[in-house]
Amino acid sequence: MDNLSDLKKGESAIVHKLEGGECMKSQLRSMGLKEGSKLTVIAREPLGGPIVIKTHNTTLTIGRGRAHKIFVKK
Amino acid sequence: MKILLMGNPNVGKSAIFSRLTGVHVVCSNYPGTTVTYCEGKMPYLGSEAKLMDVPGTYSLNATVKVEQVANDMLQQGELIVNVIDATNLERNLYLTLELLEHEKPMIIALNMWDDARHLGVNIDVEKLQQHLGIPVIPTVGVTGEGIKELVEAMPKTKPVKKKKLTEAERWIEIGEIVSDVQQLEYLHHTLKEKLEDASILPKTGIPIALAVLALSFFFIINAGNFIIEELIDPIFYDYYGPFIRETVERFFPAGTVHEILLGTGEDFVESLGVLTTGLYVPLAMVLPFVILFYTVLSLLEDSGYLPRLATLMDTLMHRIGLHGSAIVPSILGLGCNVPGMLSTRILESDKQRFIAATLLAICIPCLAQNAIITGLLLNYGIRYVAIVYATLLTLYITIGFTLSKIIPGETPETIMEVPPYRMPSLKSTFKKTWMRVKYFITEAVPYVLGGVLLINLTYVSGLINHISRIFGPIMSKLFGLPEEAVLALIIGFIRKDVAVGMLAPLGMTAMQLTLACTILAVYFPCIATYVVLFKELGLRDTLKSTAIMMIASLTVGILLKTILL
Repeated sequence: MDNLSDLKKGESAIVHKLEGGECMKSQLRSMGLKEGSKLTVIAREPLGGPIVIKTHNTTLTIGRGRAHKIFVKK
Repeated sequence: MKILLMGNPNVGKSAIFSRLTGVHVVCSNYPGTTVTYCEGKMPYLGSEAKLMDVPGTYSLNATVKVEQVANDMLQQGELIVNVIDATNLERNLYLTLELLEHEKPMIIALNMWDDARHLGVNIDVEKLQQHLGIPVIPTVGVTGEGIKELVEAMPKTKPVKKKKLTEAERWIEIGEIVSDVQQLEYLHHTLKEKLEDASILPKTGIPIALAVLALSFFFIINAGNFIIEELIDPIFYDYYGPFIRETVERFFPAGTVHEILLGTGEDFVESLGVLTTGLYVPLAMVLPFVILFYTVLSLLEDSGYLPRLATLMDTLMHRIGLHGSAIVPSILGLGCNVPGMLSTRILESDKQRFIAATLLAICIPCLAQNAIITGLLLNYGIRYVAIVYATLLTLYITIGFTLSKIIPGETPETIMEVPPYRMPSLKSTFKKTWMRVKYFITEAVPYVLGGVLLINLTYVSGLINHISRIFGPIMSKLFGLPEEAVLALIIGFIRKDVAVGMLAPLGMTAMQLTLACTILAVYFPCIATYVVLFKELGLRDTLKSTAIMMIASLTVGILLKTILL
């Protein structure tokens, strides 16, 4: 399964699984990114920078380390 | 009566707050924390109610400080106005359900109603009311649409019984509500969305960021100079100057008091009188820039640009142990270090706060200082100005990188919402700017007056000779500056702008002046900033930070002397 940082710019996917502490997971969900959400990658900042995604009408900037723990299905 | 305004960040809460309250708004720290909230008054049922703008949160989990404060304030509220973003119904309803479980009278302001229509989000308000059991009023905070209806509906709402749910159960309920009340139409990309994407993609975003920053500063400097030359200078030189001289001379024709009040000479910058330089520096040289700077900053904040800048800066800022959002204290600090220092509390970890605060104190000159440095050095040529700023930027990166390696602790991963571009609400821009300007006037002006008075007293009492004798050799041996420059460093502790102004009459070469300006910027923040630094960091970290300041200024001074002089 891919994680968020494997996606290219412009690609869409469905969030399959969130990993990490419970706090972090519920933070992500309350910010609009949860299991089943459809997301599109808007931008990948260079040199290991964050990934910008859009889900519904929410745009989020997610650090690369955090992105590794968000598993998606294309 | 206490009414709470609650909701997610970036839902237009402050625009609604501005609509509901009058001019008397106070922002302060929540007791025992560093979280800021604002409070105002609104007419309510024939009397006055207190309206509290609770800091925006995504949930009431209480895992972060802001959420704890929101939880705590919630206990005191008698009526809750939950502002939700109609374009993001699903996400916003999570907090709504959590709030409903507290069984207090509550009403929903379904904000961004116009944006929702433009985005093809159709919400059946009637059905949403039935699901939630409380009134739902569509609003547009920026234009004021729906505010009247909101106020009218407030007294009519009653608390509803609600069972406590688990996180998973809440999401299930939200799923049911959303699929019942919301219909999405697919609309093509608008120009606005294209611009949103362009400003966050590195290829186009970085040029845009440079253009935005350059344009902002170009506007602030030019508009500021225009106001000073056309409006303020004439007032000072044609009206205030003759008036104050005549008045003082009537009571004190000559002597010490005359000199302290008016200084020597006609020039408002160099005369160093309490009533001349003491008022001219803060009100004429600095205030116009402060007003313009904060207006531009509020517009950048409210339009939604800053999170994009923070995203672009994130990679670079991570190298110095910070998040992209840590660019905000630095940008704020360019206006005045004090609010910049206060805003370091938006950072999550102690390590980040320490690095951001120390970098701010050393490498970020405030607007007052910027205005005077450029004003003074531009006379000799732009390259002298460039030397000062290039040195500061190099320091910022070097110190940041070093600290991120040696200070223990982690930099947590970034997660940040990037709101869509929105038309800023002029009312809230004006209010925000006014509050910051008011802060500058009440905090800075007394310090400048005191500073100028202190300079005069050191001269009159002859203390200046002692100080120069003791510390002067340090200035001349280490930095190659005239011994008198030491007094500027002491005054710089009180006001940096006054101190830079004091360098002007010392007859230094352009390079010496450049070096002196750089050292003044680096060696120590002004006392007001230092006090806030102490409050934010505590004794131990303040001492550490101070040591870094001393090492930095000594190193920079000696290096620059070797290279430049």
